[in-house]
Amino acid sequence: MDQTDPNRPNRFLPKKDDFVYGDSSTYFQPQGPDVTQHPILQPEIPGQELFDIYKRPPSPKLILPDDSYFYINVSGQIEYADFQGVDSLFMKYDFVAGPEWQIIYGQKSGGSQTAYKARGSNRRLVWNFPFNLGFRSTNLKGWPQLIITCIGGDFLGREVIKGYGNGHIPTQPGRHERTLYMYRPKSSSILVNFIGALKGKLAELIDPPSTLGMADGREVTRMESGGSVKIVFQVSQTNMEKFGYSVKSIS
Amino acid sequence: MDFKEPGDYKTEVHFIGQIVAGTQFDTSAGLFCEIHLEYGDQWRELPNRSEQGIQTQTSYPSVDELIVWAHPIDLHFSTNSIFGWPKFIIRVWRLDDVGRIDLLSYGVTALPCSPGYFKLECPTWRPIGTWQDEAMAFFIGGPPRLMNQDALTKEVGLRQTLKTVSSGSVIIEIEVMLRNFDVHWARSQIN
Repeated sequence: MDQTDPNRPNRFLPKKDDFVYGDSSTYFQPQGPDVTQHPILQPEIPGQELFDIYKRPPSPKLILPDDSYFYINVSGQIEYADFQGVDSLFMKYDFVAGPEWQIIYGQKSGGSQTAYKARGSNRRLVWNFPFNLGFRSTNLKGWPQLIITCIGGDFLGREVIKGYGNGHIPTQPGRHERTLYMYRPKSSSILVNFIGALKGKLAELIDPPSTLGMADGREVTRMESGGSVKIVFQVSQTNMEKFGYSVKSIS
Repeated sequence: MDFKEPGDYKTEVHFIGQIVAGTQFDTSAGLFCEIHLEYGDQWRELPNRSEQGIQTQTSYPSVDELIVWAHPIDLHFSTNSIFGWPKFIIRVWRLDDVGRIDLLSYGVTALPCSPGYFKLECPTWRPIGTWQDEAMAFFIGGPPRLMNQDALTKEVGLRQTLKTVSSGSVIIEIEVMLRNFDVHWARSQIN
């Protein structure tokens, strides 16, 4: 038998029909041709062929049997936000992870409802928004992170950024409560800030998941602090001890 | 030869977390935090040794005096020794309204060595100069800084000649994952 065949029968774990040890086609739906690679959609820039020497071949895709990964299931909810001077907010979340990580279950990004503050003593903006994801990887580098973008209305009701926040998923199994502190970009000058407030286009990040998650070029940005978001994570893991990681026991 | 490949090391350590925020800096200017790593000779940072350190965004305080950096940290070490466990050397810089950058304070914190979640609060300090220096720092800017950076961790004996004043605190959340420690070494070191 060919030892490199990824679909060879598993000697260590019993063959099951459940999700984790199922066929690899369970995880990846058959995909059609990539429409973004169509020649009509490719921009033609004069002299672009001069840069072909910098092209790199696509990195090889890791094909391993299913028991060669460790699996992490994250569920929980984004509970509420504490913001001063904001009456209504909605929220978008994104999970980002390193290149070796695969999302095998769940929605990696989504958006919530618009929450308003109540009139009483409860000054929280409650979303109570659930999420549920499954990850797998072979290396801890690039541990998945949660990026939150809070969007609210300005004085004319236009949608502007009220805050970004980021944080890692907890590494230990169990229930964890985390607070993400939020921040929003600061305009480069007072004039730009004023014009942006008039036009309803305040400073914002082009690609928040990669800028905040991978910390690329964050040292040149300026941010104003304010607000926090409370999140509850429920984390469960399999195969971590087989990789040699010391995980605290669930008790 | 002393040269080793990454596979020659027995155990691995991951530090995953965030430089969360700074508190009690008593300023309305923007602050940013710079972190350098210090670890022993038997340690190797993967995939490459980071020479230039970690620099966060410049952040301005909120109404409750919290300066949010929220800078993600994802460090991977392989090691043959538990000696020389990594340390963070923290420097907090200030960017004022005129665009000058001053070194505000120093701090050193050791990283935890058992798996789990830790919230570290590192109080920071800066040296005191003569009264001329302090007057210059108060009216113009540019507080005194260390002439010899070895006083932070390498030659702590130099600190006997120092006079310092306290500054704000840096909050770091970090999670530690150890790999192969209970295979190669005694389990009592971990739990």
